Amino acid sequence: MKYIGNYIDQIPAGLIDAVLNNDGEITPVYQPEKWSGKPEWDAARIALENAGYPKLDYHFHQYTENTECIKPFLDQIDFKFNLPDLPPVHHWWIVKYMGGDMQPMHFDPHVIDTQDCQRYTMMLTDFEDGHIFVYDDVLLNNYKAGDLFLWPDAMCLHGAANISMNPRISLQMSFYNEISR
Amino acid sequence: MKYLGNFKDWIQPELLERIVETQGDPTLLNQPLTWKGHPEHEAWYKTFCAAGYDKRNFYSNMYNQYTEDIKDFVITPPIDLGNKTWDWWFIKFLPGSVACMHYDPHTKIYQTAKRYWMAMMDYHPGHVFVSEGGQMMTNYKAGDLWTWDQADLIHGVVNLSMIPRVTFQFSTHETDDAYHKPKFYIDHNLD
Repeated sequence: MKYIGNYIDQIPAGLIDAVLNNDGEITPVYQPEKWSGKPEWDAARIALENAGYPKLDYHFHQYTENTECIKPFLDQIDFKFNLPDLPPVHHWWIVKYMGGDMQPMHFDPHVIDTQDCQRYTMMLTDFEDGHIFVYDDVLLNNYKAGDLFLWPDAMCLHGAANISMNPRISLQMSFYNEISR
Repeated sequence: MKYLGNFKDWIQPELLERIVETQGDPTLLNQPLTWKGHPEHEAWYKTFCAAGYDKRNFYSNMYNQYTEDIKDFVITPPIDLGNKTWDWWFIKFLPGSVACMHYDPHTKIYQTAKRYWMAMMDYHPGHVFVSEGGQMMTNYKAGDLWTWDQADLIHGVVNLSMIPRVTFQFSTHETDDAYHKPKFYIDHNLD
């Protein structure tokens, strides 16, 4: 991950507390309906099934522009953070992992439908031992809330978990060009 | 972690296969009785519950000298331990298994406790073993053996991969290191 800078000053006061204090959209790790009709995702779905994840009923928490508890903050934040040379299409989501929440190793399926995708992650909580974000055999660690990172490759295999005693929150962003079909 | 060398020849392939294919002793992460009797244990368990782990059914598969599935195997130390007493166990983390950040409670009982960790399989992406200070073990090979810098190191495991993860753990203490255990309990008015 390439460290871009710290942008905590551009996160509206109260947003992080709103995420901490609300469940948001409870999102299952195993979402077969999301992957249906996408043959290119079959290998990942079948691997998850063979590993037994569907039986575990795991989930994490997501917050998007449609999530009620964060709507009051959305007009106070510029999700582009004045970054130069960004592709035009933008989408973002906030993820919260409570203790024991996880997403097994995966690549982000939406990237398949994009061109020139740039993936960014901004941490919204300070790192603590047990906050897991792994990619390319590296543990992202010792970051502060507001630290923004550019992924080395939007398609990199990664996984996340929280095995600490406190929640872990991050803002995820993708900027890309649509694939013309 | 201090690397002690590779002991791949110590690994019995039939034993590893047995561990991968059997259940051993499924052991819940939430073990309230283990964390009673000492203020440090009780403080840790309180944070464990506050984080909600007591309401989850996380478990790992343990194998020790009493585990039926491996009783026909003889386990000897991979290195010379002198006259020290040792306790050993294998742990299998199936995909999705979790052991949140913790210290091993027995390491607080023996003043001379020393902890060892051996990989039974090569590192695989998603096999996450972390310790305090933001450290993660990667790129190890089956048979790689480490000793911990401190026996009561805070550590945690999660398997985010699609295949099981098996390790061999052992602890040693001086055979005459007995005074610490009674003191540990007497101080806190327990049997």
